[in-house]
Amino acid sequence: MSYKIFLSVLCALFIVQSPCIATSRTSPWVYHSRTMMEGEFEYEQWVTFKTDKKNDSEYNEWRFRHELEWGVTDRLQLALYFADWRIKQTSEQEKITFRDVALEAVYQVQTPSIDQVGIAMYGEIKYGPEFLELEGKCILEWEFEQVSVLYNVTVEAEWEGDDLSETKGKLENSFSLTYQPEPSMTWGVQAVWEKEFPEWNSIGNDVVSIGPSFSWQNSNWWFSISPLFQITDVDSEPDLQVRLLFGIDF
Amino acid sequence: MKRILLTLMASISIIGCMDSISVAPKIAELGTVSNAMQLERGRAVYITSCSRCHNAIRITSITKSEWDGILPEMIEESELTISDSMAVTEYIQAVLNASASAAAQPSKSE
Ligand code: HEC
Repeated sequence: MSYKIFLSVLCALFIVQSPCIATSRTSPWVYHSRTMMEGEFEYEQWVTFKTDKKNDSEYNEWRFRHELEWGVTDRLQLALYFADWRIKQTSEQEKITFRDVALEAVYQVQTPSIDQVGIAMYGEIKYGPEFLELEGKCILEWEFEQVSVLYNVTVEAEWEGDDLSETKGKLENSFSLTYQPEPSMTWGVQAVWEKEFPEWNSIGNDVVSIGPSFSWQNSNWWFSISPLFQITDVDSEPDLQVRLLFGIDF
Repeated sequence: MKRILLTLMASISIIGCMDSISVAPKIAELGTVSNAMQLERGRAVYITSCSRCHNAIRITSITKSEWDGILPEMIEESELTISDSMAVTEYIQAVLNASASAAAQPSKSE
């Protein structure tokens, strides 16, 4: 029932919206340095599908995230992930879990343009049942006529378990290269390189994934989609992940 | 190896510079203009506000009459202030004029 209300509110917003500035994302796995204009709102829906783990042939996972973004000033943007939830199927069970809510802040240090690199800093706190995570990210963006390059470096600290006693760190480097054949569309490639540090005292495997991306926008809404294929050989990580993002501005 | 790398870097930076000239020329490249301050502002609007949703488009890749149709629509999309709208309109005009007069002028070597 509450989901119906939620959908009707979304539809209503979609219909009554005024002209607005899209902050479309061209790369679902990589953030860009542009933030929203003051007073703008955007609803963003994330859907991620993960499959093909070598150590569990029945593994399949859907992840959903509902996010509301708000331009506080032309440089500062806040976002609330009001739900992060998953449907996970393994050889042992299938279960739906509510993972967390999160608060995110992005500050644009330097606006990207053909004259200068775009720079933004990103901080996020996630909290859920038996789960806490802090995340910091530095975002760089280069614009060359129809080509854009994005680079993110991310550091994460995670606490999990009954009394948040299991800890780990994570370092992620991600890249994206996109080509814009026309203003409403981009094609690209993305790569993500992750490394975990369990208990902060050991070093996990390098997991590298790479894949193509496509995005499309008009003035009120946009979407971007990208499959990522693992090119390293880590059995406990999915070999295929597909992420779809779409946003509605109002 | 080092040489290849240097050549590569040099050519990338040259291409990079050429790009920023031709996508949205700097005011100094437009020849003599009477309203340089206003055009500077127009260029700043063009390369930042007009690249919020898509990369800045090479101004001369669009004809004057096409711009007349597209620009008012894009100014509305960008929610620019009236003075920024005027500045960016004048800047685009100046770039189109400069490129038209460059094309009309026979090259000196001939
Ligand atoms: C809110 C997002 C947004 C902003 C801001 C924006 N544009 Fe656009 N622009 C679009 C979209 C979407 C398209 C493609 C669809 C269309 O033509 O409406 C487009 C198309 C264009 C085209 C058409 C190119 C072609 O080949 O037909 C030009 C030129 C253009 N924009 C220039 C500008 C300029 C100049 C500005 C700044 C005044 C600007 N845009 C700001 C979203 C935006």
